[in-house]
Amino acid sequence: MKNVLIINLRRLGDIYSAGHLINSIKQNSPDTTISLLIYKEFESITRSLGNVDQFFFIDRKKIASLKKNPIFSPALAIEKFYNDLADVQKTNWDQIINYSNDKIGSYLVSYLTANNPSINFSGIKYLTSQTMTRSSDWAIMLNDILPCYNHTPIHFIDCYHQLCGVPWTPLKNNLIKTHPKHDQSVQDVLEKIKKDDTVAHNEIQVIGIQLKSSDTSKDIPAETIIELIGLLLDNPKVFPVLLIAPIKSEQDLACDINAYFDNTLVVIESDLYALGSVIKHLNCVITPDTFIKHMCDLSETPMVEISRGKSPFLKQGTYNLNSFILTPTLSTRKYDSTNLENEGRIKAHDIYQAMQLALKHISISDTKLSSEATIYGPVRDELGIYYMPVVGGYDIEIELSRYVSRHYLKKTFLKNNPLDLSFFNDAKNFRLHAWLDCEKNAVTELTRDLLSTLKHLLLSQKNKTKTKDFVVSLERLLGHCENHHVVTIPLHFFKAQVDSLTSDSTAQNVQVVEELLYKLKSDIQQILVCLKEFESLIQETRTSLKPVGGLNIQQT
Amino acid sequence: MGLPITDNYQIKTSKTNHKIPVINGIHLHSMYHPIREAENFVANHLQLLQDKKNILVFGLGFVYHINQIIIELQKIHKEDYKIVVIEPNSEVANDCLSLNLLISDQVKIYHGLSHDRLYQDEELINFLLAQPGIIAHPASFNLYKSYFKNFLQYKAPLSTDQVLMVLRNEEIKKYISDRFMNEEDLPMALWDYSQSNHRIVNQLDYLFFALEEMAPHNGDTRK
Repeated sequence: MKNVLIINLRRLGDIYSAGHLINSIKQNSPDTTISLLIYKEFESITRSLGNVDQFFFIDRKKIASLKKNPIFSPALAIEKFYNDLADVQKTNWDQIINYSNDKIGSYLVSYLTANNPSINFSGIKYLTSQTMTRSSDWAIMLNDILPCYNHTPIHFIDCYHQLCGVPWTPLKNNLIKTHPKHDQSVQDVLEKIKKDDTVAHNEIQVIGIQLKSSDTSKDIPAETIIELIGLLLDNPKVFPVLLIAPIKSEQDLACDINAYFDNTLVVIESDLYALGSVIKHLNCVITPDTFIKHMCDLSETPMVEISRGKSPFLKQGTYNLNSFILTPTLSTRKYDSTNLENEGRIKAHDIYQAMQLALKHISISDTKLSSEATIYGPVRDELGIYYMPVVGGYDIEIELSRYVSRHYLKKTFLKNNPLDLSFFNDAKNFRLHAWLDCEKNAVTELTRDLLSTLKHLLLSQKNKTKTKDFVVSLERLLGHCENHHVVTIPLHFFKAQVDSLTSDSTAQNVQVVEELLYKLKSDIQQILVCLKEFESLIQETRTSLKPVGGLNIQQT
Repeated sequence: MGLPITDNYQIKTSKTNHKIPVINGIHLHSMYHPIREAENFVANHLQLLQDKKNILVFGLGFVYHINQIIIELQKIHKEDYKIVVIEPNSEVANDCLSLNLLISDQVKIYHGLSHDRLYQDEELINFLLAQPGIIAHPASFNLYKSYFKNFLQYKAPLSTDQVLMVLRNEEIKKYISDRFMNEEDLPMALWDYSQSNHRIVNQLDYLFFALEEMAPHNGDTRK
């Protein structure tokens, strides 16, 4: 039997999101015991998240109060933290997975493995030199590369699977635990709705609309929700219900919206535990980006994810092939909580269309959006979930960068993978060539600085006074990390490895840097191979321009 | 902070036949009608009792005011409430307890304890962390003004040797005494240590660094 600890010191969404990895671990080795270390403020998840054998808690709020309030002795916070971790520390772990991948999680992995180097760890931790060490290149991908990109080529969940060496496995059993009493109550409510509203021979489908998220920049504006409900009420095949938490601000908003419809709407108020029952029985959920999205995925309930504001688009989008993501068009989308440019760009009609698509009431080709919105749909390939724009405008440069970056990752990590450009059938040739030229230029510039760095490195080995020139050229090389080209990916790997140099000997470190520079050179060659593959494909397959007609993507 | 000194203590009987403690000549309750006095006193705090189900009371007296608080809390929160009383005078507290005057067992009484002792009591700490409402019994508060004021303004000692006196875990005690002996401000020293790039020499270094990362030291709040 294997004993695995997952450290997940993040928020509810990330804890639910780990359910996919937990499912894969359990299904690949059913005798594995899985424990989860989380903050105590999220304790309510223990009744809801399935497949976890044991939970451990750090009472962060109490520790912070004890530590920061001058009336309490510093001894109290120290002992509370120590005691919270005492049972975790005593347990014999076979593997510790740092799902947090933050500093606290990394220190704790080091604390728990310090006296037992045989414990296998996945992710990042600190060495005694206080430098960070990564368990594999996937840890670099997760920590050093993905955070730098707004539009990532790989999904977090897939990255964690690769990081832990666990093959992804389809969901099995109820990953969201529910109480039979809650299930019955929800069923009763939904039965009543369906009974009251059923049109002859048509089964009414019930759509849950989540009213609020934890961040107002992510929320669907109230006027958009009202308009959307109007559209839903006009459709005899569907019936909207409002989903709220037992919080006054949400109750007030539900009240205001309900008043607009003469209090005829159904409002379902539920805590975390009961919410599992609600989601399980709905036909579709419309949600801004919150933990409810992850609950829907684990329950396999189709959803429309509305991605606005600082919502981390694509990195951890829906993992359900039957769900869709609706976003303001990427080329002009802003990702912060203060920017109002995204305001009003997603219309009620866009959400309504995306919902119909998710319910398979309409096909992709029949879906019509306003000019500033795009629907992304998940597809699954060898690396996991990938998102393609299926309806609406899209930025060809952003999509090509993501797509060819993913191709490079597949080539590097999975080896044999041919490039398929059928996704971009409707793109104009000159746009593809313009993107290609830009990427080639980036490769040329990076190669130039790489060769210069290598030259200065060799000179500095012969003449110590040249060391400064080497450092300057190395800094110039690393400056390319600011760019978002395909070729920047191997540079990030290089940078992470340089940052992790552990030797006290300068000579040894220089030798390692030299090896890494040659490795980078070879990786850049691989990028060039990818770009050449791309170039020959667009020359071979696009001798004649095809009419524009949407992306060539299979409806899932 | 030492405990207040009582020069003179006696128990009298009110016109309504209730026992009244008198300390240094000060009557802690009304000699005419202590129950009515308590009712009027608590009537001024009804909003607080509505908002808070945990109440910290300064001054035990002979609990007439506390019994009235219990009555009101029960009306609002049923049995879901807790009262903690701090009373510096153990003699009064012991007499009160022996008279069996309290009407509820959901009252925890701390009496005759120094501030340092009070702020090391785990149950009281948890109670304070829940941010209780505070009600001061006027006669008791005025009698022991500096004791209660100092309780409210208390700052825990920060030097290594004083923190070591509170610590119970031997492993942590050894870790701190080995590295931070004679520090005037241990939290600051721990913070500085976590920010330095020295080599890790003890497993507990990681734990302390994680703690500083989770709840960073804020020197200003301790000044």
